[in-house]
Amino acid sequence: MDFVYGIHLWTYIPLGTIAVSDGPIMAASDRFEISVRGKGGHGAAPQGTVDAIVEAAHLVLGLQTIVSRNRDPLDPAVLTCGMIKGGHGYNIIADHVSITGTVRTFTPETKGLVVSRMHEVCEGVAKTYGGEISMEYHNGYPATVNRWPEPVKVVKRVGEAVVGADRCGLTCRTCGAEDFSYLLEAKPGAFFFVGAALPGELRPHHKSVFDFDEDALLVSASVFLHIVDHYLGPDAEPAKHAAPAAAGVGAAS
Amino acid sequence: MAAASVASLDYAGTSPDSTCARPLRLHKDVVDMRSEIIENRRHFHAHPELSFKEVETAAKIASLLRSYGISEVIENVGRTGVVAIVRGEAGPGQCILLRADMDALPLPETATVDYRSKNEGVMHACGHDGHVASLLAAAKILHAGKGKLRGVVKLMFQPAEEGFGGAREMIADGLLTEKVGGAGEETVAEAASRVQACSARRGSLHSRCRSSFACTPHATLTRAVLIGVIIHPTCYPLRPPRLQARPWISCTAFTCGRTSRWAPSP
Repeated sequence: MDFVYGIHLWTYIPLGTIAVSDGPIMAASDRFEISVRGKGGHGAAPQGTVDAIVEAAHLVLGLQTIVSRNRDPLDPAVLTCGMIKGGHGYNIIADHVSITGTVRTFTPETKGLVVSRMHEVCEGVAKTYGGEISMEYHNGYPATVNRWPEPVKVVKRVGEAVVGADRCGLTCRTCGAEDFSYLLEAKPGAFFFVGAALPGELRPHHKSVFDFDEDALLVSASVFLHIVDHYLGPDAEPAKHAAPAAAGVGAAS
Repeated sequence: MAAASVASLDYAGTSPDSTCARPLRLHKDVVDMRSEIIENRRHFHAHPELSFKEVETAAKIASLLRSYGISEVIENVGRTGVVAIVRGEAGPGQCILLRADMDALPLPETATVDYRSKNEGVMHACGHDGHVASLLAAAKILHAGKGKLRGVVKLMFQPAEEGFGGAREMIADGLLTEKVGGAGEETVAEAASRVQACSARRGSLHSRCRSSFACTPHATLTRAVLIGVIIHPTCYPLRPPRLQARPWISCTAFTCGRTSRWAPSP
């Protein structure tokens, strides 16, 4: 296997555009589960209890400062607490709250920072309130990184032939994730977005109203064929050298 | 530029209020296939299936690929994935993988289009139906034009992109190796790294034949490459060796096979 190529139709950019760029283009997508434990009691008698809801509320706010205060603002990250559950009744001090969420990062450095700060914030909040907080962190898809400059250039060249030079090569990055990342960790290649917006109201991906301009399929099929032609067609130059060097951090191993 | 060898056609689209501001220069055969591509997309859109449950989707893809005349269609790679191999007939060359994912989402479709989901609560809401239709079109056109191609195209129809790691499952099943799709695609770089690794580690090279079905002429070619690599790094012109900077390979003993084939790998 020499090169791997993947596309995503993309309704956030117009038909007749292709977004391809070097470096990370889709985020690593991880999931966390936090268990906040306190000491329950009567809602009218907080003395001697540890209110897991108050503890969890401070934890959520503390976690939000990791992206806003610790992370390099030039390297995007998202930390979302998507679900919070806890409590028993209006007059009962909760003894347990669970928080589940996702972390999206583009580089191993920022991911490492976010994860270690999450552990520290959990530990600090637990100490502050006298409860116990534990976190399970589950690694999901790694970031999708166009770490191979040559294949990106190939997409730019063939994309320009289809949609025109000024409509190909724009940068599109999203905190969504994509498991084509595993292929790009193993082999040289590129992943890119093919513009597919319908006229009028945006039809976002993962929404019940999603749809796209079907003429985008003619663009993606044409680009696929041009890529193959570039390597295997009559005018293709025979491969002259070893696999191209990966650029940037996290090169394939 | 290589793309010049592909016939292109100016195409203004069919929708007067398209978001596309100018004509596209599309592959001529793709434009000719427009209605078929859209028909395929709408079929998959109307029949969405969730991650690792793409049974009908995979069967339909495999059936279409075979109807194009592609004989090497491998099913159940990474559970429900499908791989098709188009072998160029103009000579050996590189191996290029093109990928489409094919799973849908657990979402009720609210659009009123006539191709809306017939599978309640499941919807192609991310465009994977379009990825599949695009890659099928490319497959059909590539197969029809394989006489002009030098090398191999591996077409990957992947399950379970939506959070369940279908790509990883296909890789674990050998997607990126000759285990899926037979031999004939190993690059000289890969052969060289094996030669180098083996000689550095053990002082010997075992060429592996992963299954009896891999013993095709293509597999023979692969081993011929290895032999050429060992005997003289520059004597194999069809796949220009990426070995020229590694002239220290010395062949001191050569044993070939107990039978008509090389010994299979353990």
